[in-house]
Amino acid sequence: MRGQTNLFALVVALVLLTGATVVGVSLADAALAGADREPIERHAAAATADRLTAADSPVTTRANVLNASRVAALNASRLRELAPTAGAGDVRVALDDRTVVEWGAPGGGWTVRRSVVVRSRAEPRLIRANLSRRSTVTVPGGVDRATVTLDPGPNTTLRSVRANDRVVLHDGSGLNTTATVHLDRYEPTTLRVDAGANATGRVAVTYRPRIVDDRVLTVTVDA
Amino acid sequence: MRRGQLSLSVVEAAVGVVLVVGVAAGFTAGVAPAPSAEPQLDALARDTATLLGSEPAPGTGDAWLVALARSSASFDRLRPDARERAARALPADVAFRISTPHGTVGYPRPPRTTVGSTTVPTRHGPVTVRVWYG
Repeated sequence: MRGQTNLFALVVALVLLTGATVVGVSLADAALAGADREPIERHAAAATADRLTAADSPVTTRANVLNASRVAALNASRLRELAPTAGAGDVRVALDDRTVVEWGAPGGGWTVRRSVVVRSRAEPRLIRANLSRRSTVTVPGGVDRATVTLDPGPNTTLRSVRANDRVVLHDGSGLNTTATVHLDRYEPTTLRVDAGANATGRVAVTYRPRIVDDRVLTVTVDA
Repeated sequence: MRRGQLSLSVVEAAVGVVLVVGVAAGFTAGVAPAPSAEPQLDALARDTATLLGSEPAPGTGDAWLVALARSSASFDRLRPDARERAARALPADVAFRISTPHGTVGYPRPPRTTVGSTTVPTRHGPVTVRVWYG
């Protein structure tokens, strides 16, 4: 009688212990598998997004400011070169809902979103001025460079060009040239040609206004 | 057996279960915590600060963050535009609050929410950008 009770207790004990072991080990295994797998995707996605938006990235002009034409030139191999971590799995890079680069078919994985602006250049604008009538040309804000063409008339020497009173072009013996000048993009710029009272000739200023669009950059990595 | 003693096997089994569950719990607790939203929100806050810190605010000759921090008058004038600009920069489901020395722009911050934040020094004082899923 005594031995049989002990046998019953032993069976119950073994069942309990086995059950607890199985449940415990499977829980721990699931936790380990999850911990092992996710950081790769997460780090790859975050690192790829960081590389793309960095100030010295080949697709940006400044931090978080993407250049539209360089983004359009991005392909899978260039992206892999830029961010080797992205090679860990299937990757999709998108701006808003438009896919920029994709390889494989990322189904789930980890997605990182970043706020960026995409800057594209509009058609060039040309402003001409006749120096006998006016000597200033105004370029709107947001433009960081312009091309100035100086064509002095007879008996006229143009020595310098100022952008908001900062000298950007100067030649003591006279300017007769086409040159690119860098402007302060934080405010509208007035380009002034230092011409005397009876100066003749022409000045032409060409600049490309920037079009800036807000976008959400999405990087998905599915390892 | 009538004396109410627990069978020794059952006691051993109980000790064994506690041991096994303890070890398994150690694995579960010891591994990295579930991925939180915080790094993602921090990145979005940094992005917003970078964009507002490099983009000229209209009519000021300064970046948004600098113009907001400069003076009370400048802050009041730019506040509606800055709110709209920041809302445009962020994804639609993300709310924000920008704290400057002269006041705040954006939404009130709900309690007990995961918030990503970044602080940018400007020459007129620090500006803090906070974002959260709203």
